[in-house]
Amino acid sequence: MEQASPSLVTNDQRAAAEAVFMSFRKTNMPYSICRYIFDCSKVDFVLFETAGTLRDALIRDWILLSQDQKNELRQYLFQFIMHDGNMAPFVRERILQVIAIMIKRGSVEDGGQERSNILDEVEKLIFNGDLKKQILGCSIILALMQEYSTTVKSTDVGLTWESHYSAKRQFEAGDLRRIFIFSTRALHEIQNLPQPLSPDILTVLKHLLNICESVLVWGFISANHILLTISLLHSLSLLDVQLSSISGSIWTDTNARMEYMKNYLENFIKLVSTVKILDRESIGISTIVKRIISGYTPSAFMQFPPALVKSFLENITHLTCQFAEGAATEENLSQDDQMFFEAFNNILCPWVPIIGNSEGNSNESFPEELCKSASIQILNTYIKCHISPPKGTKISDNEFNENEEDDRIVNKEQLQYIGIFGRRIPEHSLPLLGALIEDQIKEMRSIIEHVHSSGSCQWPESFQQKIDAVNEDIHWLFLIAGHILTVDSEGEPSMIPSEIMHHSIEQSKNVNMDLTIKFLTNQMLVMDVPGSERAVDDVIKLVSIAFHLCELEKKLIEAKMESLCSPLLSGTIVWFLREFSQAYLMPNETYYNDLSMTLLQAFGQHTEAANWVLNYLLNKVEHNIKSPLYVDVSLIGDTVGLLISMVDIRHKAEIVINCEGFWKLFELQNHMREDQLVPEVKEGLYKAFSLAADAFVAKDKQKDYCTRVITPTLDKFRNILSNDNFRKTYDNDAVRLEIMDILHKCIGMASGAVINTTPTIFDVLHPMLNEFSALIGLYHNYQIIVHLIIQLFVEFSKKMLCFLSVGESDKFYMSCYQMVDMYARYNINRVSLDSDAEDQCYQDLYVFLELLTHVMSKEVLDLSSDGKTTTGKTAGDVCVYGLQVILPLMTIDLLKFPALCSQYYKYAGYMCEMVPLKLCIENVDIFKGVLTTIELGLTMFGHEITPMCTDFLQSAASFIYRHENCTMHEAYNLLKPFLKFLMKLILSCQINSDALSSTGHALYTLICCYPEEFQQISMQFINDQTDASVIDRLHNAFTLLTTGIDFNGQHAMKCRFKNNFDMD
Amino acid sequence: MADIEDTHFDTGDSGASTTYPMQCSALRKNGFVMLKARPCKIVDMSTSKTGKHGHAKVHLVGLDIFSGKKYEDICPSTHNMDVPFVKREDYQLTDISDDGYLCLMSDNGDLREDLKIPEAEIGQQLKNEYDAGKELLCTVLKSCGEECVIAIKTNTALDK
Repeated sequence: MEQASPSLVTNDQRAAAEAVFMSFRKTNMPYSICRYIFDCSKVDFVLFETAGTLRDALIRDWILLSQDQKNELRQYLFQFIMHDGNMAPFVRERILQVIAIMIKRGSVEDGGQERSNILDEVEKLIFNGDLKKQILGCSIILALMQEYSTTVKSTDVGLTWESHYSAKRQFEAGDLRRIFIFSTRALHEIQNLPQPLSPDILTVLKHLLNICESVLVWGFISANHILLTISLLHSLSLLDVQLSSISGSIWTDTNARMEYMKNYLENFIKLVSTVKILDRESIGISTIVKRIISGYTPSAFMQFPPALVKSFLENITHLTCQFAEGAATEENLSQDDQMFFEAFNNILCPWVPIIGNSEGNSNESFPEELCKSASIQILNTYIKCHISPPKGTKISDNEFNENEEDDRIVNKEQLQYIGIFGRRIPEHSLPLLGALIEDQIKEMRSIIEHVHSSGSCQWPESFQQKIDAVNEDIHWLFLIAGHILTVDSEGEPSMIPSEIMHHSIEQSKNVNMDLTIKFLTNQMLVMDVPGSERAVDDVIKLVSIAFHLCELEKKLIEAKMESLCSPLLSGTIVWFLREFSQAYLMPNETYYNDLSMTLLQAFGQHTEAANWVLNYLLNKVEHNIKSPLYVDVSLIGDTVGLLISMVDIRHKAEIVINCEGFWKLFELQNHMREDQLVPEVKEGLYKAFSLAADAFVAKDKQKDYCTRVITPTLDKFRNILSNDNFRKTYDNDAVRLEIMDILHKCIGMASGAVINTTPTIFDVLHPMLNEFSALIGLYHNYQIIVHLIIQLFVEFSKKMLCFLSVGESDKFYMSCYQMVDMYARYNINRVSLDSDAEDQCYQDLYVFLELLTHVMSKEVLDLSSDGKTTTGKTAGDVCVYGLQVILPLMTIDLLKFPALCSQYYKYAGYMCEMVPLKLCIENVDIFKGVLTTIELGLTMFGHEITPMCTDFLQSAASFIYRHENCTMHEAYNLLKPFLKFLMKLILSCQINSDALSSTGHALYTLICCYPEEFQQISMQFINDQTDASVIDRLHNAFTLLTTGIDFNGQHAMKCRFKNNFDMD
Repeated sequence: MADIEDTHFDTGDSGASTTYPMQCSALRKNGFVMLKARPCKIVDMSTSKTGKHGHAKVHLVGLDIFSGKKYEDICPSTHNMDVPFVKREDYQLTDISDDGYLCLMSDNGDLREDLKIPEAEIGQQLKNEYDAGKELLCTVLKSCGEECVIAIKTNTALDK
């Protein structure tokens, strides 16, 4: 056995050694051999494994061992660790765990009697023993607490959740409290020792603090057992985070609680104002602040002395700034550990309630002045950390990491909080950001000047760094500005934040409206118009700056100087414009209590200025889709997003469809060559065109519009198909490109369908769907086209099917049949030499399953309004047929693609639940095929798939059980072997515990179907055993499992059975 | 209608060109491209940048459609890449000659005997199935002047 530790062994030897250990773990009654090993072996790994074996055996055989045996064994283990001082920590910990498990299991039976005796011993060790014994004592307590608590570390000791729960409650009621008392007593003794403490004492101290912390974080079941000498501990370990949140039923007396908190705050302030917080401490400190604020409302805070509140706020402002700076330094140094970053994110959170209630009663919120000054300081610091010198401290990134995520995503949370600070002080934040960006534009101008006069587009590295720094600063300033001006509404319609609205109203007294509009429509800057600083609205200034930068980008591209532009910055500005347009452009006035006349005149519905802005943005979209900067898919996404944000709300779409810019965009894409627009743009544009159809309430107008949109594409398609030579030219690259172009547009169009437009869009697109399903045959050798055709079907099923009437659904199903048929015809029995043949199959099947899953959902979610039921084919028929086609193509190798595997089993299970009759009885051959894959899935593809398979069996069995004359059907016999198969898997522990609960239901339902077989199989399992004790246990297990259960298919019985099963 | 064939791609050469240009950014996964002068199918495509504010370059990974060999290339996204004309046609297998040539018949009845049995397993399978009297369809891949049988299928289309 011991040969496993040296590293000079072959793989075979290693495997053999492993096998020895594996079988050793399963040894029956291994107690004496374990003791023998403990006595003789000195190899840590062997000792570790032995302790593991012992643990497993104890859990397994607990009831078979006598009390004496257990006591003796425990005593032995105690002695063993006590005497071997040089034992490796991991071995010691494992043995301690075994002891702790024994104590815990014992306490379930004797009500904790034995545990108290043991604690007596341990207490003696800690107070009287030498250092080693003290540490050992502490370790035992920690191991014990771990077993009683509910953590990932505690072992599954073969107890049910309920018995664990009651054992825990019993432990809390007495011994936990006792542990806490004596560890605080021990701490107290240490406190009285002369300083500085010796390293040995420090080790004990650390252990004791660990115990205290564990007590304090204990997830109490009933929380009124500890009201203790907390202040003593407080002075010892101020840093203990848990103390900051002691609340709830512990404090029965409010005054005591306030007094305690006052004391705590004073000490906290003393600590953070005298000590420089290190990065590793910052997270703890930030959590303390979070806890304090979450435990005490602002009105509670107002009861503390004002000076204390002021000092506390000033200190946490300082901490927040310090963490922001720390996070920036970490980023400048590209550190892996980003503790300040985390602490900064953490400490931002409590600020929301602090600065939140600006309009409420002064008794219920923090003093206005303090909040404003804190907001200014924090915002300023944040800006400073994100821009380059001289105004900022950011060091330009020399090393660029390809895999770095988008700033917008990485800093999302931070930016949202910073937005809150910025909105608290708009009179400060908005002009500041405007001025800073204009500064950078000035810088940019001098760079352009320089390049222009030198007449060359080649420049030294240092100059490039300067350009990058300017772009980076503007990028960050817009990120911050965007998060101040708008709030991420996550699905809700975006609105103008009330703080900004009020600021604009406040400002309107000084604003010159004519100049403001002129500013906006001429993209002017404050620095170019002396005296405009106070005369122009702050929001409009920022929007005008964004427009100004768009113009600058256009000019640079025209002058072939695009190398000065940053695609990233360009994308950030588009993002900013999208956020702006969602919230500010043509707002729904009924949503607001107060409205700023300035904003209303510039952006309100039916104003000239808003119309101008709309056209400007449409023009920007048009510009971007042709721009050499826009090739990155994420940038394209932002541009398409900008367009969609203008049409996905009806009252805006109504205006957009009459905009000159909208139709210009339409004409432009129509006249571009197929390869000039990337597929994502085509799909995005047509999605937007399709969404805009919702602007028409009248059906005939809607139809006219949709026809107008699709006609150029449809004409092109008809021309291709009706060409006499099409059968010969279909596979010319040029024709293929056109077909793909048409498909992308149709996919986009379908993906923009909504409830009101579905009938119209279906009507105009459906004729093409049939043509395409025929084309799948012609183009079977061109996967990219086949794939797009299936994708079009997916889009139909995803966006439109649930709204389709019976007649329309029928048409769609027929097209599906035709498509599936064609696909099958050309792909079954095909062997390909293509190097990516398997990948192709995977991709095809994956979209196929996606299609079928969406089609199936029509069986659940049918929102069509005609309320008729079909007499023809149903969604279920399509699904069964689709499965029939897929099954022969689905190989084990393909199922090894995890995404495809889970998609397939999900679909199979879904189907068996939704349309069991079609699957199990009417298409028994398909059922047979699926069962083969279910058998594989139970064991082969990991424990995420297993429950999907047991769910399938459950649905199938419960359907068959309820079906009349079920035994007459072939399905009845097909399903039968699964009872035995499942029982075998359960008994041989091949089913992961996560999958066990779903297995219980499946087993119950199978037993309902095959009660006699169950008896036979159980008997057979018992008879196959030779060991008498095993026979006994199996017999008991089966009896216990079925006691009080009627196998009648009732839900209640199923649950009760599951409970029995879980206990077993 | 008739102008479909002649409007689009000026090949520049005498008309015998085997490729046509396409803007790099318009290429997509599963499409074709010339990499290191070989016709390839794009199996992976990603954009990368020279710096945070740099311009995108497109990183292409392709498999040689004939040999399966992997090729990679990086190209500024606004540049053009060559795209090979790629055809895949189905033929019915009518005979296998003693020296290993296939006799193939196209949809319109034309016969050709210039392609050899493919190597690797598929060749053996083709032979076996043919000997067993099955009707076989062969897919012939053609690009850049090269041709080979890339897939076979026992013909079920006829019995439908």
